[in-house]
Amino acid sequence: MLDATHQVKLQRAKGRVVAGFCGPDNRLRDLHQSGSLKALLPRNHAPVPDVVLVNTAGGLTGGDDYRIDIHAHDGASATVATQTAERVYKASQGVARMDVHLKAKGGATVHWMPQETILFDQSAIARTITADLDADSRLLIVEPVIFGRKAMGETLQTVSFSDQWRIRVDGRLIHAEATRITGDFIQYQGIGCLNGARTTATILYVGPDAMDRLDEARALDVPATAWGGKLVVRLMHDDARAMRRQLTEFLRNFRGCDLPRVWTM
Amino acid sequence: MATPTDLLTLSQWFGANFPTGAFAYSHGLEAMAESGAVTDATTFAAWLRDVLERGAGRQDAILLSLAYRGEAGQVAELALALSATAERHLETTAQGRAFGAVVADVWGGAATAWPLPVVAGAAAQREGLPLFETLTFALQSFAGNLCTIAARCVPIGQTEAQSVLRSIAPIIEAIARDALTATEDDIGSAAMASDLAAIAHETQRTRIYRT
Repeated sequence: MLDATHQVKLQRAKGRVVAGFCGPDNRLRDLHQSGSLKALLPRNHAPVPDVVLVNTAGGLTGGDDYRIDIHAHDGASATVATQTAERVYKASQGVARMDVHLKAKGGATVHWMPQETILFDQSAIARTITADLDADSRLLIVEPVIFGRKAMGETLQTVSFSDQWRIRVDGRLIHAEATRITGDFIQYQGIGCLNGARTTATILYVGPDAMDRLDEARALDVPATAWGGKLVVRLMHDDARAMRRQLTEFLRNFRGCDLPRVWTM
Repeated sequence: MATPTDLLTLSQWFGANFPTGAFAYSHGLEAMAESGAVTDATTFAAWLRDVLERGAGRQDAILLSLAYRGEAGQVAELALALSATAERHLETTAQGRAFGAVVADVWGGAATAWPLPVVAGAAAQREGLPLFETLTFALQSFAGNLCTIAARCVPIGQTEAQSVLRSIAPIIEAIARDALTATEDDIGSAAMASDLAAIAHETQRTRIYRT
């Protein structure tokens, strides 16, 4: 009996957003939102729409289930960010799910650049990012993760973090990221793993010019590598503020425009 | 159970004499030594354990196992996509191509240009070699090559290198056992510092190794 009551109380948040844009003037073609996830389209006086995702549940925990679909077609460009850093709190049971689907077709561009995901002690999240592009479209993914904020005295004992990316161009799998940090966090502090760092970020750029932009990325003083039509930047820092400084500086230059306003507020 | 012939085939495929060119690929170790992160047998052993348990060792073991048990062509696509850096891509494709070519010439079958763990898994399946032993030989081959490179580029003593290799035998066994039944969802790495070293190696001024 007690168990049954407990289960009901643990019924967790669901959220879903679909946003689609079409044509070089970025007409909004689709917009659906439900549950604890909202999509805002702030007027930003820029030609590229900023979609701002808001999690009204104020964070994630075990059993939460979120799904986001962003589409851009026929020359459209969409930049998507989250209103704040996403906090993943201690899970009393289950795993939070975050499934992101991105699509760019017909010379379209999608920039998926949420703010940091902050993992708290005993948090559990499984995130997937899948993307479908065609050969003349572009995709930028920026995903910073913080393993407990040093400045806030947050220390992870155990965590369950799974991050799986699958990127396809014309149906062919051209890139995958698979990150798995599960169990005692101290096991991941070695010199081959996090080496004591508290925050990492992965930046992936796919587009016809990805290979040509390697020198430009390196000139911006970030560890960058490029092969097979994609460019990858990997960052690691002890301190979340240092990460944010490097990330914003790099993105401002590499994207050639200011970050979505939520990033700088 | 592995027959004596199985063991001889495995020790040939994964021995230092098999012409995959493994000696040219330091898996970022040369950059770890250059940056001062790996300086002696203790730091080398710590790095190697991370790479095996939370990096390419475990990941490649699962890919080998998936190729052995399933559709190797599909696993090859995933294995290629999972390369963390340009040099990691080179390391797995160049060795895979060389391994596949020799196995096709000597043992028969079509040569495939798949990444190393995938071509090894598919070849072991075709030759009827037992999966668990194939995994342990492949993992020891990867680790043993890095021990040999450590002796040259860290440097550590030859005997120290053998001592490190012996100490990771239980880790190899555990990774192989987990890989026997692992699925695609189990794939995942946390070797971030090692990946960063591989990126740093691309622009390192003096380099002896290709990765």
